[in-house]
Amino acid sequence: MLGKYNKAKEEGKNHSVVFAVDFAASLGLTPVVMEQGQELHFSTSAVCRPGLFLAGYEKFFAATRVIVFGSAEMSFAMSLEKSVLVERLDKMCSLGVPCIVIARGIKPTPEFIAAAKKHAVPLFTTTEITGKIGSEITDYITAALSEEITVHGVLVDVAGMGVLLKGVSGIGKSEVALELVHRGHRLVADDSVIIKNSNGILIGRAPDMIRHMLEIRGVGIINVERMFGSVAVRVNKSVDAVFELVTWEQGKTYERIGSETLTEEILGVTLPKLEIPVKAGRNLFVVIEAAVASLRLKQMGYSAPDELEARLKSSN
Amino acid sequence: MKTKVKASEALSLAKAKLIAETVAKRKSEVRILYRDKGANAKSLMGVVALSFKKGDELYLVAEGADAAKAIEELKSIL
Repeated sequence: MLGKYNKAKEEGKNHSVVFAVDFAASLGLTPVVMEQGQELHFSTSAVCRPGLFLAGYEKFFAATRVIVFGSAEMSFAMSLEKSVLVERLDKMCSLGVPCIVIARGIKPTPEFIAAAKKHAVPLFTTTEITGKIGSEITDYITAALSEEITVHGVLVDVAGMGVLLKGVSGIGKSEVALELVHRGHRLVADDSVIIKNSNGILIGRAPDMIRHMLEIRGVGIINVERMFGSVAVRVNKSVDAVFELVTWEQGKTYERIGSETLTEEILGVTLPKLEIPVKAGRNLFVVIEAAVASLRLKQMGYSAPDELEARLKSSN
Repeated sequence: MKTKVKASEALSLAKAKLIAETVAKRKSEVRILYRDKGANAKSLMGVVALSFKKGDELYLVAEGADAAKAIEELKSIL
């Protein structure tokens, strides 16, 4: 389900800092110029091929982007007069570019190294072809820029819908997850769910330490993957709905018709939400499966309350 | 209320259990924050996921009637 982008991104405040050494290691880049403990500041995931800048056209130059040199840019740079190249590289590095990457295994000339050193701009090389490393850099920065939070809850893939079960400690979230796994659905995360906003879609996963482990009161900790096999788990899943388990209170009114939809906002994305009262003797997994089916029908444009209303009208 | 503590030892499963059980006795909502992670202190698995080491700095955040008591107890076992 598509929601709106997170606010920080809309306001252009999104910013991410990674260590240059981690950036190089993740993308298989060889550092040529890099200071110890140097940080890279990213605010956009797009990369820039600096052909126009090298040709002397500086208008619209995107100094916040990673600069990627391919064979075309390198061969053009080499065709320039040395003094011109020195001046343009110096200007480029002085504008605050996060880093420079030279692709296709081309070796940087001393002019490149001197400009990078002077302005402390990390310079990397890679044997990768230019287009590929460009999109890999974009993917890397997109991931680094997405906002992340940890929520207390259980994430289960119920018939393809990522359901975040919430509720106070001890209400039985993990037990419901176990029931759902038993019914053939898949566990993503128990207890702590790390949620990331990836271009308006929320993606949930478990912290590495406790992935696919479930704590069941009275039994202890179980490894769901070991117990039910690899089909019973998945590593990540979009978060599509929030089901809040609440203690059944006598006299409180719960949703009877299903025509109103509550919502919950996570990282700027609005998700449909249901409050599900928990009562002894109520088979919760059945209720949850029905809730998922009902939400899906609603999203497909069908509403049982509307049909019932129509039947009532036509009988009058 | 919010307090900073230094972990006296690395997190073990037994320690996580002690933390969750101690806090579960209190009514307050208690969260342990460590680096960019946070966990509900009443949740065993959530606490395990923090996997902090000896000497690491943790923040304890509690809200509720017995928040001060909960933080005090938690501080003494961390």
